[in-house]
Amino acid sequence: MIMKRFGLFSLSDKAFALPLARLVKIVQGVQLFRLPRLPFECVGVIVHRDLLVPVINPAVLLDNRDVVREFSTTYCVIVSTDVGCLALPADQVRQIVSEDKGQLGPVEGQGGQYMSEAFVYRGSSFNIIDIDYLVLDMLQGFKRATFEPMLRGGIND
Amino acid sequence: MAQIEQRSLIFYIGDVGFLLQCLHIVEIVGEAGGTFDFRRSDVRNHIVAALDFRNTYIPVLDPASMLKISSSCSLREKEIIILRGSEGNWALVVDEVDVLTDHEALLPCAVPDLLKPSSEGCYSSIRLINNRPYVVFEPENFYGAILA
Repeated sequence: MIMKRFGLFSLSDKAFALPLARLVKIVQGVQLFRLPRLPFECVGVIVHRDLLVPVINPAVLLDNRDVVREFSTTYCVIVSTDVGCLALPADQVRQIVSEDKGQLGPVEGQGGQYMSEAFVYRGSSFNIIDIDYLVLDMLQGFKRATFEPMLRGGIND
Repeated sequence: MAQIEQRSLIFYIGDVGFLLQCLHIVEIVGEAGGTFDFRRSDVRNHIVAALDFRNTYIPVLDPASMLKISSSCSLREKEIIILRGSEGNWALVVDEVDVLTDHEALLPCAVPDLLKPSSEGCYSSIRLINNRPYVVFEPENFYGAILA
């Protein structure tokens, strides 16, 4: 049996864990580029191996709905999803830890809607990010923002 | 040197780079100064003014709001590119006109699936130049259809 492992990182004053199987690469000091009509959840893209990787808005991980206009995090944690890679901003990259070195518990504090549970390691709690839910919400959130106002307002044109 | 059909103009709106195929371009006017007629605007269709171009008033489109890009330039500071469309010429205002580039220098790059819902009807392709993405500007998404 292959032991599940977590990659640990932090952003602002919050700590996060990601299943290692989803982690593609951690890049440092990459340039962020804006694109037109970015959804709230995305602050821009980075270029990785001639591919564009959307970078998640730090506000989403920090559960702060204020739009973050300046992006100044040090690292981008690139993860794989069913619809391609995305990058999570990080100030500090910790280590890779086997699940049996810690224990799973409830999400620390408010946590945010994209945290499934927490990995507690050496007294610190790392909220585990539910990447699939985040991706699903990004895709469906755009539809909600686009079509629900139309449905509420009726079709006038 | 490449044929005009094989070249694109680089321009910027805010900090976003765009590529516009030269075959769409009638003329690059540069800064408009005071030549806009703002009484002839149609904000709902992103027409911000009319421009007297060769003795004909043509619509001026500022795509920044449609593209959700914040621009620090006022309209009078922007540069004007005259484009041909099925309904006649129209003017596109951009923050900065840069250089022409050969299509050979452009590396195709897919729009990420995660961004496809929000980019739909706005842009559908991106090219890389020196590891920087440039959005291929599709005039038909903004005003009329391009003449064949």
